[in-house]
Amino acid sequence: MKKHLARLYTFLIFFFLYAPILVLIIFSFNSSKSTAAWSGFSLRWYSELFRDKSIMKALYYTLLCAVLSSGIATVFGTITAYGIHHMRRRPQKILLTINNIPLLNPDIVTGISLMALFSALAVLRFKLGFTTMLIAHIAFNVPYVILSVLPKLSQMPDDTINAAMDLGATPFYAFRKVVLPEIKPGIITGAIMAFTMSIDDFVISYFTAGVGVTNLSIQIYTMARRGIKPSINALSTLMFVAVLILLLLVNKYSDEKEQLMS
Amino acid sequence: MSNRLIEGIHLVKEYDGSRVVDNIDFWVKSKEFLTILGPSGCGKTTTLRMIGGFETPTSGDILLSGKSIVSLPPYERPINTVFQRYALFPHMSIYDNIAFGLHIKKMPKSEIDKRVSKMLSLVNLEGFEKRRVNSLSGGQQQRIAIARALVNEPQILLLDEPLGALDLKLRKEMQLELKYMQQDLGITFIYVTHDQEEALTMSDKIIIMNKGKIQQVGSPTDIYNEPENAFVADFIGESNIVSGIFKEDKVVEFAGTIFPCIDTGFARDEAIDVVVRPEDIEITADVRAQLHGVVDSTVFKGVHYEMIVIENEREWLIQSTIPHEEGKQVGLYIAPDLIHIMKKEA
Amino acid sequence: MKKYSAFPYVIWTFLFILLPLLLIGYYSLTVKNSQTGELVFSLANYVNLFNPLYLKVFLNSVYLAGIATVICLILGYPMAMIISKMKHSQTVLLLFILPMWMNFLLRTYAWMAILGKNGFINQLLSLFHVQMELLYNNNAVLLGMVYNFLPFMVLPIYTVLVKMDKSLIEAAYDLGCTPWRTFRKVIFPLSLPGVISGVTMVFMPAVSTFVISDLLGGGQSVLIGNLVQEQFMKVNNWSFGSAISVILMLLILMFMTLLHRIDRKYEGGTK
Repeated sequence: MKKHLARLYTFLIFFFLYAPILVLIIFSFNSSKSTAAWSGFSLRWYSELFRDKSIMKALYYTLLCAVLSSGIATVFGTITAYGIHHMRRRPQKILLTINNIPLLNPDIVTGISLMALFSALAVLRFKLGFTTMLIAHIAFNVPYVILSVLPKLSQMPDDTINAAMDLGATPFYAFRKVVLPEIKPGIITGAIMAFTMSIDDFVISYFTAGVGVTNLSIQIYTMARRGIKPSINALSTLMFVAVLILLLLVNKYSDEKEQLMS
Repeated sequence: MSNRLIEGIHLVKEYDGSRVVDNIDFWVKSKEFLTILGPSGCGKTTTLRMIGGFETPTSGDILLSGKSIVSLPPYERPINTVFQRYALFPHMSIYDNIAFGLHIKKMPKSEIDKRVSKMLSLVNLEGFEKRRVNSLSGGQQQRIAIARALVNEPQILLLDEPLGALDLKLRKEMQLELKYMQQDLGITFIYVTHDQEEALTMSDKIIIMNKGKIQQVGSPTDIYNEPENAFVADFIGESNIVSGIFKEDKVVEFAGTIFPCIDTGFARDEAIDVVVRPEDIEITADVRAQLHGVVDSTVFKGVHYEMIVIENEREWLIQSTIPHEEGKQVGLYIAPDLIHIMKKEA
Repeated sequence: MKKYSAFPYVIWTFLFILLPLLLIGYYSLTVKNSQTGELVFSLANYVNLFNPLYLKVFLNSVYLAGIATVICLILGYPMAMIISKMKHSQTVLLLFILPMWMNFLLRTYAWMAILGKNGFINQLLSLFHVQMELLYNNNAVLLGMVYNFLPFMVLPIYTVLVKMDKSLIEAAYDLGCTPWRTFRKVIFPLSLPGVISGVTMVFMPAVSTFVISDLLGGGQSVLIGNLVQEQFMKVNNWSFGSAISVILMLLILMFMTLLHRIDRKYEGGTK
């Protein structure tokens, strides 16, 4: 009885979570523009998607920003984490507290504060646009990378780096050959987190991108009240399927690795 | 001077104002097995890390063959270390771990292969090249750590409590093996431990440290038989330590009794510490008995019995192969040459 | 290399984390002189906040975010518990958070399609000749919050539950606790750190959102986030917008301190 109750509950919650997504996916194959009335199967929106310049441009900016910001944030965050790990306790605590601000602050505050900064810097010919959006994304991504790399550094015995240097490795060689492979899982987690945060971000981009540049989220927001073109549904379905495949692959890969290890 | 391979001069290390190593001087001859022995927090590991280059001395100098090395980073010192927790690189195979130092020296692959397999056979782990670090037992990891350091043919090998994580039986085996390796390869070992038995078994020379200061330097027999102060006596094996008064040469008073001894050179009526080893007290019923007491407890310890005899509210720890039952009145006798007299610690 | 590699980030945090917040603080304490356009020191922005109109918005935000948090906790705790006991809990958990990879705005938009006038539900209801106004009210906003932030509640609670030492629960049973009592006296107190981080992770985005209220609430449900957005993007009164943001930050800071206290108190109580 208890077990059935648990199953029913799980089913209801999952239904709640997936219902809107199913609606989106199903109606991306609808032949009419409606997202409520089914008027027949069609791939119309998929073909229109690739011809829609504004959506393609938004997709381009979204991906470019995600790739660049997560890449830069990963390198920057990893190097910083290494430095923070070796700091004295007091300055370390201070820096980590500041590092936590973007995580604890509401997105909207981060967004408007960066917008205020960029406008104040307008005298330096700093105009809102792709660059400011990119900087904003890096700013909220680095803390995540730092926080996912730091635990890996503390898990590493202190003497590991010493052992490498003891055997003749210069500090840089030791970092490359010993530290980096050890903290790789943390770096990968950080990079994936940064990438997904960047792709999904709306609020911070909205305030920092300026007029000329839109990413997918901004595009959807501006279209939402006028009614969204089902092409966006089609795009989201494609992206969702891509993520699904990626996750399955990662899962399979890590399962196989686990089996090899044991 | 010439036979001093490495030498520490007035070494001091301070952390946030507290002195961990307090002005110590020492030297080690080539091919010597030196042990730095002391309780935790005595500064022994810090001393070792200064030799290895992982800590910079606050003041003082370290000479290698007469040349200062304090300003050299660890990777430029011809010294290798076996770390407390082995510090093997978990993402590398055993082969890559051992070959790490040789790769840096840009040695040709065939030469590296040869040396790695030679080292593995030295530590009795032939054919382990492709194994992963995590698949090895603690004892095996220990051997790999030793091989990884020795393969570089260092002038000095530093070992920081390398056997601490092993169980007793394995530890005993490894002590002998390490000693054998050291003699066989003719490499100078500097070994840090808090285990006095380990130090006595393996070393040519022992430095005993406490609270950052050197307490005594000497061969294992010197240190065991002639501890220079109560700390050393207490630290090296269990001891009975009582205060006494030096009456005159070869006469000492403690426990309210006058004893003949063989020590000289203290002032008349100087307050001193007397050290008597538990195995040096004889339980006797005859007229030789100098002290009288009651057996408080008798415990069988395998090789001998350990007894506590209460005499005038003083406890005497005694080891003997002959047990005496609890509650029995006994006499105690200590031969003159087994009474060790030491200066009172300030 | 070790010593200096955090240095660039120190400069970065100053430029892109501290300086922007200082600017907001500065703007909040100034007003624009209408003739010269200069910024002059003034507390007018904060005084302005006491206008009942704005107070109502603040109360509404806290109220809605609070209710959403409670609903997430009530729905999420059993869910986390059920998943943590499953055989393939990792995979199920992955499926649980999978919807979050769909664009946040689009997921919210999907609810517009479901709840709207010509939406899915109303189409069904029209078969019975009923029409309901489901969109553009507080309930729709609440639904959007719960839908979007429920995973943030389940995830930390699940993590704590999965790591919990099972022998503690067995010990409680062994000592004669009923399952319910075991839950109250052992499992729940031990899972409190997860509950607290879940509550934080739901309440914070909920109280500061403007997208959900914008899309699902229409003009009917105005939250703090909407006020800030309006001041910055429409009214162009950055000083007032900054003051609201400062209050929003203080509100969240207070909330976090409160939660921290509860956490500490409980820790002290169980020792």
